[in-house]
Amino acid sequence: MRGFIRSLLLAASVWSAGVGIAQAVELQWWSHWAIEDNKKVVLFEAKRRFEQRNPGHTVTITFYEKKNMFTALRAAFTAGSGFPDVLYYDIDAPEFMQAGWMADLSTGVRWENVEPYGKAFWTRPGPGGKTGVWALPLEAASDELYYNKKIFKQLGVTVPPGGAFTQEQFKDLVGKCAKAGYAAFATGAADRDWAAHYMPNGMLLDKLGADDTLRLFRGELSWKDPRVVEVFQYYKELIDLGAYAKTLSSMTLAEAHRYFHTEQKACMFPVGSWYTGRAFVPQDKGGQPKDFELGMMNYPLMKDGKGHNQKLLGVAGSLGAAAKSPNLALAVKVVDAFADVEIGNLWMAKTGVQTGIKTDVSKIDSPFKSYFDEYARVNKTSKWVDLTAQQVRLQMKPGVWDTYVAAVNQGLPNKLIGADEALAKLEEARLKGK
Amino acid sequence: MRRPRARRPWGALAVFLGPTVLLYAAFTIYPVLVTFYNSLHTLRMDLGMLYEYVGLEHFREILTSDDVFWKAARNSLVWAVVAPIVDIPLALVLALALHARVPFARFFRTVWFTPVLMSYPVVGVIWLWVYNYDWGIANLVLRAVGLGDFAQAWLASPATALPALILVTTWMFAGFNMVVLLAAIHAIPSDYLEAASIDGARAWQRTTRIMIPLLRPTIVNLVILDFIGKMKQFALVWVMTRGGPMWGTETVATYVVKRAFEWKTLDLGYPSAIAVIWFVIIFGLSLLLTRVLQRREALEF
Repeated sequence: MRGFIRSLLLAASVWSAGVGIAQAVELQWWSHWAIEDNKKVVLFEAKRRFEQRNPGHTVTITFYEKKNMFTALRAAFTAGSGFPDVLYYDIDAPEFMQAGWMADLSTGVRWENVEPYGKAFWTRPGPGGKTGVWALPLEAASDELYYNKKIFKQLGVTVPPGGAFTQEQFKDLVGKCAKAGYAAFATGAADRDWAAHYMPNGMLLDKLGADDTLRLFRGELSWKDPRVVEVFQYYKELIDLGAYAKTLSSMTLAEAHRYFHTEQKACMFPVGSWYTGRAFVPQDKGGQPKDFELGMMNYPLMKDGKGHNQKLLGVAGSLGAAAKSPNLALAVKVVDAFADVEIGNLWMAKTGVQTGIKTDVSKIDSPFKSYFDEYARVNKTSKWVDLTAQQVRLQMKPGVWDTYVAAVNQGLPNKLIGADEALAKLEEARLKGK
Repeated sequence: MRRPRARRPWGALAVFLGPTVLLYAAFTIYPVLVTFYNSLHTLRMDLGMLYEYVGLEHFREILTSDDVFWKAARNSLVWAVVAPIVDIPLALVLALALHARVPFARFFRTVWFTPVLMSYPVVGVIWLWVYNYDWGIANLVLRAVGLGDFAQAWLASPATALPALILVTTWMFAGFNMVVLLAAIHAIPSDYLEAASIDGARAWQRTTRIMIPLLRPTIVNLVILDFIGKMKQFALVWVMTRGGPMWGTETVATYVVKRAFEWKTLDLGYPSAIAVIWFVIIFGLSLLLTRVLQRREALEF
């Protein structure tokens, strides 16, 4: 009998060990931000917390360049295999939600620790029109206009107290920059379809106000609307003054950062407030020099503008889980590891970028305190509009977006076409309705 | 007495051909058939990812109202026509130079062939540097020789971007064409050339009247291969310009990929129809080229 019990116990222990081994899961997580060490610190902290709370399970993070990652994801999801359990996600790939590739995170995530606007952003119709919450908003960003304080001093330019120049003053500023041998804007459109959209988007918003800007992008307002024509003609004047560097089309986003803060060849840098994610790292990793004097201002005030003080803000880099992951429950737990005020604080402290996770400002210990103050000062009166340069494509029909990229990211800033031609192309695309 | 018919070795045929046929069916025939099928359908994401039959609607739209397709087709055709005209004569000159044993011939053979060994992304990045407005070697040379006024952002204008890309493929494939032509030159019996020399033919005459006519089949094959390759050009454009500026370097292949994967619809119907149209055009033009360029009576040696 004793021998029988011993054998039974042995068998039971072997079985339970086997089950333990079988249940230990190595989750795969594909992430953007391969070259953004500050953000990686936060990702690895969330991974550590997940692994600590779920002993035996591990997470492997594979870093990609975003564009290539979405291509690989699209192929893997279509094939139905080879996709990760957890994935970086943003609005550059909206079709993932409709295709049913993203897991609904309505339950399993501590949404009370996430800003309501962030949850609202990802609450959208999914497959078959069913509404779900498809990602956790990790990164939030506004479309900002940074400037080089040293160059401004050298040119004798002072930013008005409200942070925004009038239309005429701004034109004068662009002219001064060009005359002094600087590009007005550090913009690299080689690897981003929307890099040169910041200025026209900002000016359209100021002129038309949020409602009409959205109507314009959705195709409900004509590109021949006199106010739009006025903005484009003014923008063309800035371009003709020498607003952009001749390297615009061969410069990448990363190079544009260096062009602005390291080479200091441009007066201003219109870009998302995720600027800090790349700039606030050691200089040998592509960050801005320690003595670089970063300033922030607002987009110019257009004559008779309906959108003064309005600014674009939206959710950017987020985290989702694959709906068909065999380890879905665990994958959701990885996402949930981010829904934590401590993670929000860490994100802000390390990256200097806003986050959709709730934070406790009193507990954020960051070397970027002065930046946060500058951000708060310049955005004191900002009224946020839920959109960013990267998200405009969501409002547009694909054919109109294609034309917007060709005309506004390439044609206009490279002086290949004029304002009228750009608008004619956009209107033609709008009327086609594709 | 009739000899018994030899039985076909079906078992051996299945073993040796089976895997190849299977792979060919899986990775060539099946995707082609699916592409044809998709070209007649459209994806209705609103109905839960259902494919709906639309007949020839995509084809009608592409051929009658898609300006970008026609721009892409024109660019692809220009590339496919210009490249062989530039590539093959250049490769022939290089091959003849090596055949004539110019000084450092072995060194040059290696140097000229090296670009063939590089992948498109590597070549693309190198030439992005070459064409950089500020510090690219193209503009540095122009500035150094006092032609700074001609320095420009080569990839920023439709007028210069496509020629700039054509130059890259010429640089990349001159070595391959050269090696093929050199092998063909070596295969020409020396008797012919010696006889011509004895008859008093000079080097130029031996080249133009004996060697080049005997190289004609090789040259025709290279022209056709070059033509087809350029009609399908994708990777270099994707790395260097992504079809810009203003569709100035858009090729049909890049346009298909954009419509398939960048329009955020997952609908492969329309891009499949473009692919089908382009397949038919390439197939037809390749047949035509072969007919026009190949002589009925082959020269034998």
